[in-house]
Amino acid sequence: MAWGFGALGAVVGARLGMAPAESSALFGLLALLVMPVIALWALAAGRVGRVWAVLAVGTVVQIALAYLIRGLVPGSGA
Amino acid sequence: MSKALRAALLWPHTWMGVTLGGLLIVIFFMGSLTVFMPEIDRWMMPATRVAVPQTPVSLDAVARPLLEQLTAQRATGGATVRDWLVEMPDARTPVLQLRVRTSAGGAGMMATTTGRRLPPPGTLGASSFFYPLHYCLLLRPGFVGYWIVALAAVAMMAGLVSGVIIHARLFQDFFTFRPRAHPQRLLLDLHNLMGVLALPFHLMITFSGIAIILPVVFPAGTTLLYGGDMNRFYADAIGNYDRPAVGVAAPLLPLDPLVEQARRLWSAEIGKDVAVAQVGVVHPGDAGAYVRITRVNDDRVTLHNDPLYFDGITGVLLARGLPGPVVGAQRVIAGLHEVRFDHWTLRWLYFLQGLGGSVLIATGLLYWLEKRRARHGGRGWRVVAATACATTTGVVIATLAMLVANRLLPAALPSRELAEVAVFFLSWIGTALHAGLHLRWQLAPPWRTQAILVGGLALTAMVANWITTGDHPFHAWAAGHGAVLGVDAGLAATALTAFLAAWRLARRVRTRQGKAWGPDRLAVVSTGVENG
Repeated sequence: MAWGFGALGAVVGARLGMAPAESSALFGLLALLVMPVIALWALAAGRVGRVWAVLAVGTVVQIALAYLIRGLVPGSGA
Repeated sequence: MSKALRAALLWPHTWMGVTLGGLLIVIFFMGSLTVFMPEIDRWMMPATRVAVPQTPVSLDAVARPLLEQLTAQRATGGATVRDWLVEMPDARTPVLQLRVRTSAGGAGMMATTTGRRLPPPGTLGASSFFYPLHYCLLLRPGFVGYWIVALAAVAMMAGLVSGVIIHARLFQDFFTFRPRAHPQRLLLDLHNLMGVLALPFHLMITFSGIAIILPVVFPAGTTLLYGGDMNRFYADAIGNYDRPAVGVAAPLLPLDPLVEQARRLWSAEIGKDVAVAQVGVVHPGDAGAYVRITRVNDDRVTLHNDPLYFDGITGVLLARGLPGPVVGAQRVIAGLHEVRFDHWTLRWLYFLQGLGGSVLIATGLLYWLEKRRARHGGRGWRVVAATACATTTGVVIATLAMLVANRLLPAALPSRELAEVAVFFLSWIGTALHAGLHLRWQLAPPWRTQAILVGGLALTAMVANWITTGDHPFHAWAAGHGAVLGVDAGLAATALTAFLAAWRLARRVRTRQGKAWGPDRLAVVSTGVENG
């Protein structure tokens, strides 16, 4: 989930005009803050099914969007 | 906070601590030692206990002839030279460190500022053993160690956040420390105290620790935007400059004027003298040679060392590494972790709060053990107890055994540095086995025996240093070897604390036995209260 957040944020930032290195660093740092929160929620949540749904669907959607948007970033390493 | 939330977060808090606590204690302990890495290096490498240079060192007069010697040794049989690197001396590391890389491999040496080549240190020291053990557990291939350490650090952050939530009376408990209470109560009091006292530091140090290795352990953005090419990412992020060798021989310019030019440039910007940290020459002797000069960061928090790139043939300034605002902020966060700035009070605070991190995790782990000792005491409990022992007193014993080996192993021993490492790991495994065997017969880890061993080894290391180097405290004081004096003082404090702990544990056992036997002599002494 955090990986998806970092990847999607990085490509969206680059698409919006940030330098790719800056965008990668920014969303990497933000994902690092998100990660323990997600981990705690996942470990403490009552319904395991809901946890898996949010994590799996969220991750797949974010990564898919990240790959889609990457095609629109000029000069990306694709 | 609702009771339900606290209850929900209790088990992740507990189990993250039980499963990763031992690893985190080792990471925090080694990180704390790393704060005084140059001082421990001076202690472990007596040949480097030389006077601090009072004047700038001439690279052309001192370093270059040595680098050419090293190059001649390595670049035989048609091997080409890739680069030279000189780490300049400073107050904490008063020697030059030189390194040459060729297509046939690398070589390095240390030398005094007068150009006297020092013998190989025969040790990895703190900088090449304790430090990498802290950030990658010495597991570099495939970045496996970095991943494990990062995972443990994320668990630590989650543990800190959940700890704040589950301890309902956290701040009230902060003022409730009962050193003479029952062990369970005492451990929980100490856990709460350390958790609150150093909470901002522990949050900062775990976050900034991962931030340093973030591109390695979390390459989500670089995978997509740079095709996973880390070199291209770093070139973009911090403005690294590179160019290939031309293949045509050309004489390298004198280096001292370039160093002077770099210092003038930095000084003009900030209005005070700036020292040079490293001078690197890439493709020396080739027409494509360039020189990379970086600055010391003793006056600021950031790790950005402001590299300047000069043409090695013409002396023209080719490039300057300047990060953008986000990468610049990441460099500041990294600097907060690595404490390169020159501030002794803060260094000591980092050291003590780092040890406080080990205490925080250890007390949590021991509380868990104490709570389950009476109820369980089975094989699973014994494994966790033996592991807890090995990662608390065990890692201290292993470190001290390495220091003793450093002073007592013969200087001519082949692969001496590896022998020291073997002593470290064998001692560490030994403490785990000792704890495991002890727990087969007694329902408590052998804290007292291992505490006595800690004290004995600390005293032995101190005395061995005095005997083998002649650097006893009075001599160290007179010779200005503050680093040696400091490490010896640390060893003395360790010995004192360990013997005091052993004495208190013995007294507690005697008290309990006395109570159990009482005047009517009816009670039966439980082996569970024995502390080794």
